[in-house]
Amino acid sequence: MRKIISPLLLGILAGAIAVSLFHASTMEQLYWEKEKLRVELFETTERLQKIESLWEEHQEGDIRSVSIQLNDDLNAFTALALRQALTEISSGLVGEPVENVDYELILALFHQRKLSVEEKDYLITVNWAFIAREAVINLTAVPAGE
Amino acid sequence: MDKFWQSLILTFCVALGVNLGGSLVGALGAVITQRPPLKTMLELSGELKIWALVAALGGTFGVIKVFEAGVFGRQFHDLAKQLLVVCSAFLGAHLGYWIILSLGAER
Repeated sequence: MRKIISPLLLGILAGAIAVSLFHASTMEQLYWEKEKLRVELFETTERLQKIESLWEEHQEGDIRSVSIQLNDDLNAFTALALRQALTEISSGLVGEPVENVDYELILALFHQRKLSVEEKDYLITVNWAFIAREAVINLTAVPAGE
Repeated sequence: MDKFWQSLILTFCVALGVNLGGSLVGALGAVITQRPPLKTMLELSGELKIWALVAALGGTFGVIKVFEAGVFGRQFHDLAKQLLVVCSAFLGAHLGYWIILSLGAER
């Protein structure tokens, strides 16, 4: 009995490994797309919540959305995690009246800020920021210490 | 074949097997748990390198004892042999890592 079961199990294992290796790149791609969609969903939900509260208050001239442009040479997973962290930080700006936005505060929020992702620190630098109803913040992320 | 050569080849193969097997079966685990398989496989291979070395050498203090005897007992011949065994284990583990790395990089 053991003589039959053990080669069978070994065969199943070898087959499973072969199949997983064969489809690894596709699964990696799917995982990556899922993560990207998750972050986009997070961003959209944040924006939607702010817009809904804005709508209730009927305020005009407020920041409707903040778009983060991240320049980096980092791997996709790190860039995605950094983007999520930066969106969380910037979400407070949505709903603020454009004319009342303190530019120094935005600079203080992001510039030379250290963010930890996957147990590594990354230094954020603000290149430029465009504050309007559709705000855009251009940032550069480099591993801290470089 | 000389006993020393046997031990050298065995150590090399064990280290290679620990790294390759651990990484490949780990990648299978990643597939089951819906994690990125290639990323996990590469990470595991790097982490398993040192464990493959330890497993191939037996994970005991035997090697260290031989080193001690070699240095303090002036048995330099045994010391050199043991160093070669350690090198062989390291080469096996590194070859496994290299194979996994090229497997992941090509995809």
